[in-house]
Amino acid sequence: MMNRKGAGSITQALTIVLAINLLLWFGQIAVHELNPEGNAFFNTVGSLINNYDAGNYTLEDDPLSQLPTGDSSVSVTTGNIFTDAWTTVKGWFLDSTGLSYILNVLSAPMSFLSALKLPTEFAFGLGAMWYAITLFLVIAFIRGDTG
Amino acid sequence: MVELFLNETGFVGDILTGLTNNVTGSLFLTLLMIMLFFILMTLLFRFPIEFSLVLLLPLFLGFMAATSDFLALGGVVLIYLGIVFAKNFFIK
Repeated sequence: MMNRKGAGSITQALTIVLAINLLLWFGQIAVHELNPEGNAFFNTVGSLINNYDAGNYTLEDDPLSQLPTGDSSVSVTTGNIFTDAWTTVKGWFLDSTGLSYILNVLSAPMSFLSALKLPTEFAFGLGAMWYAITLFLVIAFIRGDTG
Repeated sequence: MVELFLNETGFVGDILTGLTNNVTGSLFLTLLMIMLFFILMTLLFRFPIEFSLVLLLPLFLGFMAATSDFLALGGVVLIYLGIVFAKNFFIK
């Protein structure tokens, strides 16, 4: 699985972001247990683990529901057949292949850096670096490159 | 905010309030001193440096629960712990 460097790197980035999300979530639960009137610094909204929440922080019974599904309907309200087709094709590729989930790893650090009330300059610097590096990793992953 | 530790944890709360009131004068410096002590002990006994996080994390969580000033510090520790967690358990 980790033979191709590109695929390995995006898997590592995804795993690290997921683990950070998980640890921050556990930390929030622990802080809330220690002091119920304490600070709420992290909820799952906007994070990757939110994709698995079936409400009240429970998992779905059916694992098949976690697989991405494509949206096959075409919106007729835009009135432009070219942009409509382009949007539909892009949405289908992103959703049905699970790429949108992988692309979510790009925006993940911003949610928890801002949730921790870090200085905006710090969050901006780290977020910009993360965006660029992960975007390259995603491109390498799609191309099947050696990174 | 210090009363939280004093009332809830007893022995550790005595250490924290005693250090803050008599030695350092600030909760940040108290945490820094305890953290340096743990890291020093970890290095001294040649444990991996991640081992100190196991001891420091409950302390950080307690400080985060007490006051919002420690959210960023504790968050950095949680992020680092997340990376350690991913590297050791998921990425092989």
